[in-house]
Amino acid sequence: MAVAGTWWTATERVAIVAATRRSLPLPLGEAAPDIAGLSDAVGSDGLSPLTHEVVRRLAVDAGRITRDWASAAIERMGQGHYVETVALVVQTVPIDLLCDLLGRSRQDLPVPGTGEPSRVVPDGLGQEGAFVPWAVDGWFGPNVARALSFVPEDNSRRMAVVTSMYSGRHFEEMVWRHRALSRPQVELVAARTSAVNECFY
Amino acid sequence: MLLRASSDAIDAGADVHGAVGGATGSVPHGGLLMAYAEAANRDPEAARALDDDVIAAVGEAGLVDAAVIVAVFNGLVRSADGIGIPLDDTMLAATADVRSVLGLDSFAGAANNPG
Repeated sequence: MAVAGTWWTATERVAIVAATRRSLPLPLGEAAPDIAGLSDAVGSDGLSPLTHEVVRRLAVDAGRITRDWASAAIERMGQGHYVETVALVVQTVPIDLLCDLLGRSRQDLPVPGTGEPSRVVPDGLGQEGAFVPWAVDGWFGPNVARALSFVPEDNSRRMAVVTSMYSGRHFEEMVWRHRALSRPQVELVAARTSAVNECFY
Repeated sequence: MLLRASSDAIDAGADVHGAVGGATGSVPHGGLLMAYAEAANRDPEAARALDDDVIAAVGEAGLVDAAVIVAVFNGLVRSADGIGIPLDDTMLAATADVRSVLGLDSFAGAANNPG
């Protein structure tokens, strides 16, 4: 997180994590700003109002993301910056939330390193219905595992978090004995979480 | 789908309505775990009021498990909605009835799928 990514610098990455933590739902009745009207001029924290709104939507209002909204955001930010922003938000929220639920302090933000983003688009991507291209060549596995393959290093880190927190090496097994809750108990909590967040997938 | 499949594997009789806040069937401590999941998603600090009940039911490790699952799925749902992931083909076919019964097709992400 504290090193340059594929599209964002280390300073920008840490700023996105900080913005994720500060994100709040809009007051009841207040309409979300139009992506097209938001400035892309960088502010004092290194992020633009456009990036801040994308982070906010992902962090606290993701269930209302539509293809039109995402297309507008991607058109303005670029595919790489958008996907890496998603990657940073989805690596931050679970760890912070776990700390909150267990009454632990959140991790301190790291000091950003130096270096330039690689800006490398991986080979083997294709458009298959998601908002952005993802791995298609030789792909075998659930769509969620390749969701952020436009930024493969962050996607790997994210999936390591998912594997560690969710299934370990036991995803294909319907009977779990490696954790305190049974698999039906785990899947009940997971299903309720997905529905509360209005997530179709 | 995994709730139903994992329940069937041990003849546990889970009720998928638990996903939307309804009956949880015979999943042990299903009602409490569902209540914890709801609270943890809506107000993590308030959810701590349920800690003692959850520990009494499934132990400290069970509470940690429940918290971990809420946390990791908060990342997964944002990945799915942020990228517009369409359902995998097998999942799309296997969950048609459940999605209809539970009203999941009204979620914004349903538009990311064919048909």
